[in-house]
Parts: sequence; C-alpha cells; structure tokens
Amino acid sequence: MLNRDKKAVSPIIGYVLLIVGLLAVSAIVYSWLQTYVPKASAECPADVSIYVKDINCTIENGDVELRLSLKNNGLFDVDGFFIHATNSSEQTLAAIDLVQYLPGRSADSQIELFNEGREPLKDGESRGYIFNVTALNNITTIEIIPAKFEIVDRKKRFTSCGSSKITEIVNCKSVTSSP
Amino acid sequence: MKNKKGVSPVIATVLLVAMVVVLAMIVILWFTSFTQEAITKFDNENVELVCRNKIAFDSSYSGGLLSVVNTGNSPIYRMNIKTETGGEYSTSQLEVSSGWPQKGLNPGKSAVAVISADNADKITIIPVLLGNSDSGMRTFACDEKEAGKEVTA
Repeated sequence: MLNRDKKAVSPIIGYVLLIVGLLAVSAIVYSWLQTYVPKASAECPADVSIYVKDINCTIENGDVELRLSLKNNGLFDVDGFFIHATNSSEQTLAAIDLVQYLPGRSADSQIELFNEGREPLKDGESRGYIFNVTALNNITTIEIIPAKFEIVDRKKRFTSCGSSKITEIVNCKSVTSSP
Repeated sequence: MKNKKGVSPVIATVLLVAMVVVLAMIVILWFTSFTQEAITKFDNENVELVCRNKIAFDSSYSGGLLSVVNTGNSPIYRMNIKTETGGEYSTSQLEVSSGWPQKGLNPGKSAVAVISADNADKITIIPVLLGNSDSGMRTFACDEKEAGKEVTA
C-alpha cells in the first residue's frame, strides 16, 4: 500500500529555496554585468590650449641649450605638460622625454608641473624653461601635451590632454662665443 | 505485494536535491568556459571598455626602432606586435629587454623599443593592459580592431 500522505519539502521551504537561489544568481550576474557599465572618466576640456610663445636652440662649445617660453592661450588653467622631442630629421615621432633635461630633474621625471604644482598656469600667463640637451646633440622637433587636474567622483585625477598636443620645429643654431 | 515501500520521501528528496546540485555545478562549469573572467581597471571598469574608449597612443617605426607615445589617460602595460610578411602573420610581445618600460607606459610617457620587422609588409601594434581579477592581477590584450594601430614600416 502506497503511503500517499507523506510529504516531501514543504511549499514554504520550496519558495524560500527558490527565492534564495534567484537572489544568489541575480547578485552574481549583477556584479559581472556592472563591470561593463562605462564609468565617468577624467577628460580634458576641448578648450585647453598652450602655445610656444618663444623658442630658441643654441649650440655653444658643444653645449646644446633649448630655451622655451609657453603661454596658456586656452580657456582653462593648465597644471603641467609633457614634452617630447626628436633629435634627427629621420624620426617621425617625438619620443625623447625632455623633462629629464630640466635642471634638478632625473631620468624618472615624467611631467613638468607649473610652479612646482602649487599653482596652475592661468589663461594668458606664460612661463619660460631652459633645457640642457647636450646629451642629445641636436633637437629637430618638439611635441608638447598639456595636462591638468580634473575632479572625477570627488577624486583629483591628472589628465593628459592628448587632443591639445602642439608640435614645433626646432632649428638649433651654432653660436660662437666672443673671446 | 502492493504494500512494499520504495525509498522514503526524505531519502528521495535528499537524492533529488543532491542530483540537482551536481547537475547545476556541471552546467555552471561548462557555461563558464564560454565566458571570460571579468578583468577590471580603475573603478571596477572592464578592461574591454578601457581598450575601446580610453586608450590613445602615437607610434612610428624606423630603422628597427618602434617609438610609442602614450597620449591617453590609461597606462599601457605591454604591446603586442603583429607583423605580416609575404602573407604570413606572426604575433609577439615587446620584451622589456627591447626597451619597453618594465612597469608599462604611463600616460604622457614615451618609449623606444628595438624590434626586427624590416622585412614586414605591415606592422600592427596592439596594447596589452594590466587589470584586476578575482584571481589577482591579469593582463588583457585589447582587440586589434578596436585599439590596434598600423605602423608604416
């Protein structure tokens, strides 16, 4: 005789198991899909702009010196810049980091911050730099990428403004020192 | 002999639940082999999105030297080099010994690496990013169509 009145899991426990299972699967899928949601990123405003106000490269007694004056002619403050150069006309891309050739900088120096990072270069302001590039023998072009701090999600992020990159051709001239 | 009983309902339920659990595990293991483990950067953003939207670099090749400048805002950990020579393709990764920075190319930084691709008809460079995953730090090669760049030899 079959015992038909014996029960397996009660309907309540069944529902609880079902809901717990659903919640667990939902949590797993949610955490996985969440990584595909684009996050707010630090982006440089389009109107960030600096230009080379003055440039002068001299070769004197084997010493190569690049004097550079930068002016902020954009609508935003600029906090720093990356600068790269070529030292041969055969090179098509400026890939030599020049920041390391500023006084007091090391080979690890990546970026030059205006006013040692205390104050940005405000619009209309300019600032001069002297690079001792004797180790490179010559400079043919320079490329400058402005950079600024942006606040994203209440965090300060350093942002490179690749779209505001400027290129300048350099012509190093030999200077004979007078006796 | 109709009054003979089979397994008790409790045992039947336990068996049923055990079988369901085992089957579910088999299905999950099989299914996860089709999906990739999420690798993320920054604020838990998938590297695929970073590759698509946040990687920018300039590059050139001349006389065995590959120059790369990171003009974006994401570090490029390594670079894959895909060369086409006479219809044959080969892919390799730029070694640190070739001049690529050990810790990757940070935003704004440049690198000059030595590669042997003088006979190549086409050179494509593809960024490789470093991200976090459940199993620790992992590298992820971006999709060639989305982040790769052809360099003229």
